[in-house]
Amino acid sequence: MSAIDPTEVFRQEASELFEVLEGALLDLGQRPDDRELVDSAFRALHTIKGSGAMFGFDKVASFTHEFETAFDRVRKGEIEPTQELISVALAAKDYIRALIEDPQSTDDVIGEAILDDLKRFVFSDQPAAPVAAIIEAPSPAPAERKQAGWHLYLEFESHILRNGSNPLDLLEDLCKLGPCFVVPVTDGIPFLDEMEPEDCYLKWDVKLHAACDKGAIDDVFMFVQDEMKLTLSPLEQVEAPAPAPLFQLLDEEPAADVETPAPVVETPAPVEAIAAPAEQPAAKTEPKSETKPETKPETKREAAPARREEARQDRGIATVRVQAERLDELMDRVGELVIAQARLTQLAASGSDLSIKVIAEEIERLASSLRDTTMGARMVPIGSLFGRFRRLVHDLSRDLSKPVDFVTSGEDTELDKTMIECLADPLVHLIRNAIDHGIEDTAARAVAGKTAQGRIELAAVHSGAQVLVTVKDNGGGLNTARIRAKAEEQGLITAGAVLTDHEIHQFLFHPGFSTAQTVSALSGRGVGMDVVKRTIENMRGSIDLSTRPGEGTTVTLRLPLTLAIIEGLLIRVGEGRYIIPLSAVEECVELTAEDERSRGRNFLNMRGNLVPFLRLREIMSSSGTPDQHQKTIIISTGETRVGLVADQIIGNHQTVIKSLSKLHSDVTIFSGATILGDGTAALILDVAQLVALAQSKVEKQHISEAA
Amino acid sequence: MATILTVDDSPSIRQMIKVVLEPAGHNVIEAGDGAQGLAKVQAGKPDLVITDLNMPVMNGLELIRALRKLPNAVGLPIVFLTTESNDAVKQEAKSAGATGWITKPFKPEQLLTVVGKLVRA
Repeated sequence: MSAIDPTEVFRQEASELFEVLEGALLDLGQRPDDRELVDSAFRALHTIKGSGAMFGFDKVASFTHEFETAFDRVRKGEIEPTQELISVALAAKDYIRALIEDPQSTDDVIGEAILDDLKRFVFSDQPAAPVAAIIEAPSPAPAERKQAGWHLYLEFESHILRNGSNPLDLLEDLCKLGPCFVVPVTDGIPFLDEMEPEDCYLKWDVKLHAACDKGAIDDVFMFVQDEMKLTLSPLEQVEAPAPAPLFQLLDEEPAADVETPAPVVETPAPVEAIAAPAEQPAAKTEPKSETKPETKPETKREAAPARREEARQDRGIATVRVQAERLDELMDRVGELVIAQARLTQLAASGSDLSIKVIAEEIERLASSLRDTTMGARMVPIGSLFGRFRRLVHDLSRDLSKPVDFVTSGEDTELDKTMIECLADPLVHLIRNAIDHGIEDTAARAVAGKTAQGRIELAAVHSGAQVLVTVKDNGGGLNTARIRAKAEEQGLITAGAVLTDHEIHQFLFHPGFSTAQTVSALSGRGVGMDVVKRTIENMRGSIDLSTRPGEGTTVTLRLPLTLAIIEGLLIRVGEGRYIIPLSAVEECVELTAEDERSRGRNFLNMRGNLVPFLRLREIMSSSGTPDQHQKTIIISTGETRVGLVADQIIGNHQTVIKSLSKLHSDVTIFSGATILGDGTAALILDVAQLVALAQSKVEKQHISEAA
Repeated sequence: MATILTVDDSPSIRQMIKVVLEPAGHNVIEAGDGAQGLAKVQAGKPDLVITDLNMPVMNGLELIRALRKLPNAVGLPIVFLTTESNDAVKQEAKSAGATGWITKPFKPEQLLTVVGKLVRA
């Protein structure tokens, strides 16, 4: 197939190797301690020897072998590579080179002289240097007395298949020596569930009807002799010569033959003698039980690294790209599952069948962990979103000639991927506002004694089951008076109405409200903050503004971790049942008679703090008589706490959120609906709206009291 | 026809193995060291690997151990070439997972015998 003369390839390679060898030897003169040099010299010699022998350069091979043997002592650190030794080694190298390139010009005498020199240096500390002859391929053991045949009992170590040996091939080779009766011994086969698929459990009993010598049999098992038990005994009587291949004979073999393997099995003594004279016993020190593979250290040692390797490969493909739709679909299914599970739990609770209750609990646990896992799979670090704004800030600050330092933190905070997508537009608005309205121009900053460079911080942080995203600027802060003037101008409030600063700031979220005196290309057109607020609230989040004149404005977005399923607190008000997102619930208390008496003021005394509360019965216009013991659920959004008074607290409920139809879009106090275990619907209370409602009541109260 | 991978830093040995095995109907692929050999096996399992022990980058023993950890190389016959007379080296290679060995220098017939032992049509 190949036209290249292998001998020529060898010559070329040898000349390269000589250069390596020479270089290594010379360097070794300078740096006798450099192991790397010794190794590379040794490798070069080794290759010259191995290849030389194969391409018919027998003299090269035998000379190099002795050179190598001597040099091996240097490699093992038994002798130092002295200058003298290196000189001799270089001479030896030249001699080998001559042997390859121009064999006629050399004389064996020269070679012997060099070798003598070499030995003198190398073996000076040893009495006589027995130089091993070149190793032949494993030679057959001395011929044995001829036999009529052999009885073999073969037992392989269980890992033999994994190491690439095939016992069937070996049996086939054995059959080439003469007609064989092969009977598999199956008593070592374990039960199916204990079986390692890659282990060898079969043993074989073979009668070989051939007068071959033992060496021929040893040759067959040459590679596996350390990994098997081979019991050989001469066949006593010559049976009828069996002419056929093995497997056919298996069927025909009379049963009587199978019955007599006993004497063979009991004579393990000859095994060692036959197998390997110089065998190292280390490899099989522990006695093994063939029937229990899992107790074998061998098996485990083999299997464990394989598993580790698999694990590492798994890590190699640690992320999988999945279409977003599929994740949504998965989330939907999990939602359905959670609803079905709730029904099962309810059914189980109403009956008395203990085993169904156990299963229901099991399924509840599984469903909830499946829900968590699925939600986890949808989580994306918010940093991917933050990266986009860097460019936005850069462009804006250039267009507006307002140098801005943009700082982000909490990039690895994770949010549901749909949330991240929904967040992009609101954040663009907020950042634009911050640069355009928030940060003053350079001149104004200089007057205010601020650094010329403005600063915008975008941060995300976990806060319980919520994520807070803040956009903070160190600009001039909101101009409350101007907002008020604008609100009056637009007829949103009457002139002179008493409003808190917080209420005035809320006008910023009013559609079509802008205080920017000039409409820039970027902002000031009156769309923005209302859209931002709506978007955030659609995500069941809330938006909050805080500002300090001259110091800047901070916009805080509170977002739930996910949109699809939440933990909820199920309550009853009159006949209706409602869900409060558990993340907003701080505590549940009983409405005491004392609190009851303060009717009209609607304040709870919570450890010294006054907390306003809302009677859900009033809000829901529930009919019928209220329960005797009213419960109050304290909910909070950030710093504001509000109590909600309900008839009954039913308990935790995994709430799959179903959005309300467009018909209900003007119902503000509900953010969605869910399906309960009994198939009825419950509405989810909008915490932010309820808090706002309570606050406005409180403020109105203040105002009316003040008036 | 079997695919046989020869791993050896010596081109002449690889050439020799090719020259012997190709006329016998085998497809011989080559690698210059253990790391290359490992990559070739990962790319597609050959029917037999013949590897030198003494090689730069990744030596034969390391290659054998690495191959035995590959899921797709379970049961892959691996033969190593050795000039070493002592059993310790053979033992080490065997316990690393080698299937058999060929002692250098070898004659073409010896190579064919060993390949014949381990590669079945």
